[in-house]
This record gives sequence, C-alpha cells and structure tokens, in this order.
Amino acid sequence: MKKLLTARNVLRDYKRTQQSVAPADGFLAIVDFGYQHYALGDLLTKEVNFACQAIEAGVEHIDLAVAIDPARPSASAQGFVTPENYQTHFLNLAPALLCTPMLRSFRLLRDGGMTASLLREAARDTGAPMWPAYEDQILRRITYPLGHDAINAFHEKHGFIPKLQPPRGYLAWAEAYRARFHEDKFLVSINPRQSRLTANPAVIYRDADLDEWYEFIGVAGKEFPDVQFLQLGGFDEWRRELSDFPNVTIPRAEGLGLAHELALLTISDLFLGTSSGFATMATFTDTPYLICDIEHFFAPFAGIDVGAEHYPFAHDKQLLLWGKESADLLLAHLESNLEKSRSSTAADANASPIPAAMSLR
Amino acid sequence: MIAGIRRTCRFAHLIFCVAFTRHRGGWWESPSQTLLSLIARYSYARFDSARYRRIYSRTTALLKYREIVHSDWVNFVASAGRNDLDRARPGLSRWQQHMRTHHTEIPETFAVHGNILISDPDTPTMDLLAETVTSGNFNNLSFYWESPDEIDPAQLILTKSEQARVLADRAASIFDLVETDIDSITELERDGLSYLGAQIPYDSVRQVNRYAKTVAPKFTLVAVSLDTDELGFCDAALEEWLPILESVKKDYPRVAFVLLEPTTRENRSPGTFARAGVLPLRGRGHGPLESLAMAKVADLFVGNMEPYGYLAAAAKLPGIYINPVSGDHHNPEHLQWFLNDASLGDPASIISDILRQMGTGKAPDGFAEPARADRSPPRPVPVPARRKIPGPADKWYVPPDKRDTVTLYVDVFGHCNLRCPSCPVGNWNQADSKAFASGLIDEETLVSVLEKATAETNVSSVGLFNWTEPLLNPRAPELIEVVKSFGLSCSISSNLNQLRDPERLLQSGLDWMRVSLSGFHQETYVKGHRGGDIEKVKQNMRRLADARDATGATTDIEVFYHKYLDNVDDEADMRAFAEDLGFRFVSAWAYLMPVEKMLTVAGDNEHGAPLSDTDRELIGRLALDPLKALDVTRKTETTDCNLYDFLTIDIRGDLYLCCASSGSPKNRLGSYLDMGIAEIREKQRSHNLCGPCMAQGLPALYGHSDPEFDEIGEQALRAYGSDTRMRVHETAPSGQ
Repeated sequence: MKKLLTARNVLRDYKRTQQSVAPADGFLAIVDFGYQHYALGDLLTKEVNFACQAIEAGVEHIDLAVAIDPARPSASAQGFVTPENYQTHFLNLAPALLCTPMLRSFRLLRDGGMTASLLREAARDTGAPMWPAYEDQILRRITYPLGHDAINAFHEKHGFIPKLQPPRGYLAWAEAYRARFHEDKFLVSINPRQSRLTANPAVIYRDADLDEWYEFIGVAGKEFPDVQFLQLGGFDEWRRELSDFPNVTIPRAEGLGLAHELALLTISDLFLGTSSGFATMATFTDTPYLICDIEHFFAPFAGIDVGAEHYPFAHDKQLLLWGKESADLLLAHLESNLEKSRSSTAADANASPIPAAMSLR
Repeated sequence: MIAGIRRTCRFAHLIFCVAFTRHRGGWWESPSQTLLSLIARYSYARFDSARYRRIYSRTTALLKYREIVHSDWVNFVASAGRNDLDRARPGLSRWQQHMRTHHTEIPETFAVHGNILISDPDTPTMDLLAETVTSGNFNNLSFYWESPDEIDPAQLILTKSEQARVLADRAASIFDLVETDIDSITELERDGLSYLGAQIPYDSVRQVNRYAKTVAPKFTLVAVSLDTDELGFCDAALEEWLPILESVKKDYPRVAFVLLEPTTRENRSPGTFARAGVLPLRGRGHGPLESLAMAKVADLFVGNMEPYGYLAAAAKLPGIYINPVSGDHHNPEHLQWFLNDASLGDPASIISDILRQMGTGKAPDGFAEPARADRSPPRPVPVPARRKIPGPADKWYVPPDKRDTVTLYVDVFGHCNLRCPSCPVGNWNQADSKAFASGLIDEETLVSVLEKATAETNVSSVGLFNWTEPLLNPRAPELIEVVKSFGLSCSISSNLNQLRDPERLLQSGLDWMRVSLSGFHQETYVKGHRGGDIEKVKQNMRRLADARDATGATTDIEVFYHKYLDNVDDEADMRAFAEDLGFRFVSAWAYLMPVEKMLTVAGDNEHGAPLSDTDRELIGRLALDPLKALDVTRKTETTDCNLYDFLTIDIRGDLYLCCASSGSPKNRLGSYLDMGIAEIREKQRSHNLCGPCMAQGLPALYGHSDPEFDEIGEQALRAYGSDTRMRVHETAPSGQ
C-alpha cells in the first residue's frame, strides 16, 4: 500500500484528507476507555445521555465508537487494566454497549490514528453531533460520577426519556428463553451485591445481607409458587446454596453471559437489587424495580433528595430504598407488585416515543 | 524577518523529515507520530492564538497523511446472520487465511478493518465479537444493523482514508462469512485455524488452567462441542451423546468430558452427568473465550468442526471432528477422524480406540461421587504406570486394520470351591488331574498375555474366569487393575461363596460382574451348586451392594439364575432379592457342559466323554431337554463357530480350544505366548472336536440363540409334575 512520494500524490492525498463521506445523520458517541472507566453503571448512564443528546440534535441514529488503544487501555484510576488483560475487561462490558438506544452501528477502534481521524472528520468536516466534545476527547477530560443532570433536564423538557434496550440481537432470545423455561412465571431479576466474594473486594460495607435474601427467596418459594427468580451478576457473587432453590435460575450457571442477563432484566416483571450496574440498567428501562441501599452522596448527582421514592423520570412501580433491605421488606414489595401486575393491564405512561424504526432494535 | 523565515523553514523541514522516518514498530507508535501528536495537543491547547491554530491544522493534516502512507490495512465487508453464527466465527479467520495465501501483495503485517453487516436484527453478536476481538490482526471492527440492500458497502466507512484501503479486487474484500467456496479448505481443516484463538486473553487461559487442575486433576480431558438450538443450548444434542459418553466412561474411568456449549441439562439430572463424566465448562461461570482456550488445551476433541473444531485441529488434538466441509478423511498421524454425521457410525468405539492408542490413565475411578453425602471416602488406590502401546517393533504386532477382534477368558485361579454338576469342574473325571491346573496366575503372565493380545488383536473385553472361581485369588482386584491399565473392559463371574473385600474389588474398576446361582433356598441351591451355601451368597450380595453404594462404583452387577425344572419358585424370590439390592436379574435355561458330555448325549461316543449317574441326575433336572435341544440345533448346518473368537487361557498361559470344551490336555492348543494369531486359528480349525460339535449344531445351544429353546423349556415346566423325568441314551456307559 505504499505510494510513490511524488509531489502530485502528496497534494492529491492531502486534498482527499479534507473530504469525507462521514454521514451527518447520526450522533457520534465515543467511548474511549483510555480515560473513561470500565464500569457498567457509568456506561449505561452515558448511553442514555447519548440518546438524549441525539434526540435534541434531531438525529435518529447513534453510531457508537469504542476506542481502546492497546498501549494505553485504561484510565489511571484503573491501573489493573493492562495491555495484557484489557480484552477481558472490555468483553465483560461489551454487551452493555449494545444497549444503547437508537444504535445503528458499533465500531471498535484499536488504532489511535483511526480514532483521531474519526474525531477530526466528525468535528471539523461533517459537523455530526458528537459526545464528548472534541476538546474534551482531545484533552481526555471527563468528570465522575456521571450524574443525571442532562437526563433530568431532558425529562423535564420532553416528559419522557429514551430507555435502554436489550442488547442488540438478544431481545428475541430472551423472549424465547422465557417462553421455553418460565412461561407462566412472574419473573423477578435479582442482583444482591456481594463484592466480598469476588476476586477484588471493594466497598464491602455496601454488600447485601445474603442471609436475608435467601430467607426471602425461601419464603417466596412457599408463598408465591408462581415467582421465579433470576440471579444476575458475576458467577462469584452468590453462595452455593442458592443453586438448591428450585425457584431460582442462575443464568451464569447455565453458561449464559451479561448480554443474556441484561436482556432478561428488560423483560422481567420486577427487579430487586442493590444499587449497582444492573440497578442502573433497571433504572433506565420500564421494568418495575426496588433498588436498595442507595448511597446518600449520590443524591445530588441524581438530582433528587435523600429519601426520595422515585427518580424524576421513573413510574410509580419503580422505587428507591435509601437503606438496607430485609427479608420482610422484600416480601412485602414482591407481594405488592404481584397484586399490581394482576390488576394492571395499562401500558406504561412513560414509554419513550423513540422512532418506531429504532424502538427495541 | 529572514531569521524568522529560516526558523520556520527549518522547523517545517524537521517536521517533514520526522514525518517520513521509517521505523520497525507499528507506525502509530513511532517517535515521529508521538511527536506530531504532542505538537497537535500542545497547539490545540493554545487555540486562541491564530499561529497555533495554523500549526494545529497542518500537524493534523500530516498525521492524516502518515495514516494514508504508512498504514497497511485491508478494509473488508462481510455479512452474518443469526443462523450462520457458528460458521461466521471461523469464517473470519478462514478469510484471513485466504487473503494471506492469495493476495501476496498485502504485506505480512497487514491489519484488517472489518465491517460486518448483521443481516438479521435478532442475531446475538457477543460470541462473534469476543472471538474476533481475540483473534489475530483484526485491528478495528465495526458492526452495522442495517440491511445490506440499503447500504452500499463502500459507504460503510466513516473516513475517506478507509475507502482507499478497499482492495482493487472488490470481490475479495466483500464476502459472505459462511462462504465455503474458498481454496485450501482441506488444508485448513487438517491444520486448523490458528488465527481463531490467537489472542485468547491471559485471564481466560488462567481460568481454564485452574479449572483443569481443580475439577479433574490427572484426568484425560476431552473437549466436547455439540450442536446448539436457537437459544444457544446444546441440550438436545447432549441427550443423544450422553449414552455414548457414558459407555466410554465405563471403559475409561479417568476421562472427563468437558462440554464447551451452555446447557440446562445438568440442573435436571446431575446424576446423569456424573455417571457420564461430563463437566459443563460454561455452567461453571466461564464464557466463550474459556471454551476457546479449552479447545486448545484439552487432550482430545470430539464435536463439530465449527467453531471450536478448527482451533482443536490447529492444536493437533486427536479426536473426532464432525461435519468437515472437505468430507470424510482420517489423519492417522494425529489420531484425528474427520467425519460427516452420516459416516459417524459408532463414536464410542472410535473414542475408545483413540484413548487406547493414546494410553490414557486407567486408574480406578476417583471421580464418581458417593451416592450419599455421609459415605466414607473411597480408599486411595495407587495408579498403575501407563502401559506401553504396542508398535511395529513388537514381535506379534499386527496393523490395526488387519486385526481380528477377540474376547479373552483368562483363569486367575486353578480351580473352584464348588462342584456344580453342570460344570466340568464338578462333572469331569476327577482322576484326570491334568484337566485343571492348580495354583494362581502370576501377574507377569497376565501382563504378557495382554501385551501380546493387544499387539495382534483388537481385544473387546477380558473375562478373568473360565471354569474356575476368580475370587479365590486374593489378588483378584490387582489383576483387574492390570487389565484396566491396558484400557480394556474387565469382567468376572463368581458363585460369590467367597468375598474378601468387596469395596476393594469394586474400586479396581471392574466393569461387569456376574453372580451365578440356581436357588434362593439352600435345599434348591445346593442341587445346582454343590458345596455352596446360599445364605453366605446372599450375605455377600448384601455386602457387595453396600460396597457399591459406599464407593459409588459403576460396575454392572448381574445376578444370573440357572433355570431347572425344580427351582422355578425360588427364581421369583431371588429376583426380588436381587432387584431390591439394585442388581440386574437375568435367568437362562441350564444345560449340560462341557461339549464332550453333550456329544455323548447326542450319541457320539467317539468324541464324547462318559456320562455318570450325576450327569444323568442333572439331565433329569434340565428344563431344556438336551435331546429336544439337539433336535433344534441339528436343523441348521454350522460350518463356523463364533467361539473361536473367545480365547480361553489358563493360569499357566496355555490356550485351550474354546470356552465350551473341557480342560482336558487333548484340548490344549499350546502356550498362548508362543503362537501367533494365524497359528492359533489354524489349530482351532483343525481340532478334531470342532467337526463333531458343529455337526450337532452345539454352538447354537451355547449361544441360546434359538427361540425354540424357550418353547421347549416352558413346555417342560408346564408338564413338570411330581415325577422327575430321566432320559439317558441307552448306549451311554454307566458308573463314570
């Protein structure tokens, strides 16, 4: 592919570099793990932000570009991600990227030059709306934690927010899975945080009390035989006795992965879990939920007061709990949701009017 | 001013030279690239200044130009859909191989920028993404969820520079991932696709390594890849394969089958998985990358070519590779069979043959889980050394495709503790002391016999018994282990009047055991098993059942009931007793042995042996009247005898005519260790007993192969009254 270094070729190529065929009808969202974090919750929140900005910009598609430079694969705060293991960390999160609303294309760029070209053309030549801003990307600038400011503002302006979809290509799978294995069941996805059982325990005071949870599951098995629980999350994060409960399915123990779990969460009848990445997924879908043990310091970032029952954009079946959960509380919430689901047949009033061509695709 | 111009020109010249500096590493890592990037960032930070804006603009243009000039990319467009995923995954690697082979204008170091059109919106793409990210040389990868009809592949690029990298040969750069019309596909399937798992993450390799060490240490790992359904589970295919794997597991207890695809089957029947030795890798929290890693590090591979078979073939794993595009073929060097579904035949025997040739670990099965949690753990048993695989250098070596298939019956003890009237041990001329050797077989003799047998024949199984009682040899479990160390199936038949250590016996890896008896109550039992004690037998049966439960042994235990006219009532009681202990129960018509005695009954005194009063008494008890049975057997002309394939060897290593003839020296063919199989066959066929035996059709009697025998037996039972019938041939001498 080498070219003769003639003046003519140089000039011609230079002129060509000033032209582009980059489509301007899409929102260019760049997730650069070189300075952004490998975190499920952050990623999902960003995706909703992308969708809000895309709708504001008047475009119908999001083109997602994920940049990972193997030589510099992570932010300094995540030094455990190295050139030798970045693929594992990326692939652990990749299904979440496919949850982006209005997703048209997904690009993985391991070439720094390509990323630079992409940015330059989008910012300078095509004028495609993009996130982050060009200077923020160049300067590798982002603030954590990511808040809901833009999302709340969008909701206030439009009365809805774009919702996360099941990972692209997995909705049909999730529906077929439910039809085959849990057809007449009230499906409850659960994710009690249990960092102490993982290889890298962190902030373990936020871990859920698994004794309470397993007592809840056991009682639910007797009192609500139609309920089937789906344990979501890492293979490490549950105790062995959980697999003995007949009313619990553990997708990871069947060889399924994050993509399957996120899809099942979106079609579940209820989500119960600790504030975490999976809770973020539930937050931005229509699935009823009870999210437990929300940290008080997050309240201002979410644009709510400590003790608020709902997010501004949530519906009445989506509840927040600012303290630890107990078996009794979980049972009461489950029973309440069971009653509501039996009596309610109305569509969710907060369904987002995403263009039909792109809804849940 | 002139100084300023000179500085600017020198600076520009410096930039120009730096921009075209050649280097060894990736162009994007070069010092010149880094320098230009730094300049761009520095100047952007000072964007308020017009001078820095100009510097920035020109620097980024140079960066772009370097990208055009230095990059060795190929831009390709491909498509994949939901039903093609398993083919699409190795398809990308196959395309790479094809490009390297047929487009030599592309340098070795070319990187690929792939554009994949997902034609079916319900295509789950994560496995495809995972494998393409970890395969070699896919630098940038893009997925598009738009119909190919709506988008011109040339537009599937965001930058103009990418457009320049589409090959001049557009047909080569736009292809269907499941396309099979690619040259050299046979070589690929023989050599495998190394690209597919070229960059499996270290963490996945670590997990698989740990898995192999902790879940199945010192086991032979067989990676199994089966067809999946629309949900990605292999449950349906596993239903078909579980019996196959279980049958292999019986012969090779130290084999573990690692399932590479997800399954929900284990939750519903964990015992089935344990018996078959199946370990679901994905059900232990591992993903597709760990499956890729396992396909490389396992000892064998059994399953579909796509997607994991390619990787296993590249790692030169022995095994069965199903549905190769290139058709059925065999790679004997690597013990690989490439077979389409229609040609698969008996996969269990292929796998067993490969394991035997590999000389897998034959130690007792320590994998089977105890039936109850409160069982005491099995006693540790030393693992015997791996046996030498016979090769062309061995004296008796016969190439595998030219071998006969035989079953060995090797006495491990010279005599029996009972004197059953239907057996030559009980009814042969006791003055003929040479009929039965006394003593025990020594281990070296057994090893020599097995080494020779495995070199010149295909040994289907080894029975450590003929006319004698194997459990009288105190080292019976060790001898069973010797047989198992050759990778052979081992069986014994016993009257169970003696049972030293049932747990040790079952832990030896014994595959099949028969308990031979003829009554439930002593007065009935002792008629057919003279000298035996049925209460002792029943006690030993209970001990055997307890030992089976304690050790979790998978030995197939059968209770074999000899049916006479006068023990029918006891049969029902014994059946209930045996089945309650979890044993199989089989009954069959008793008959007179050996062949020589039956020939006398048939009237052939020349070749027959004299009948005694005891023989006549036995004949009177037989429900299957021997004369009526002979009427049946004589109807069909017998010119060959299947008993030739059952080689009977005594404790000295001497080979006898067959398992139906007596141990008389007349029936001794010679030392088994001194005769090749061809010589053995010649001696069998020329023996003077075979002609008369086949003339009477006796092989059919000993095979119980004619349904008329049941009619005869049932009729006799119905007619049986208070009188005992006795029918003897009038010319038979008495007093024997």
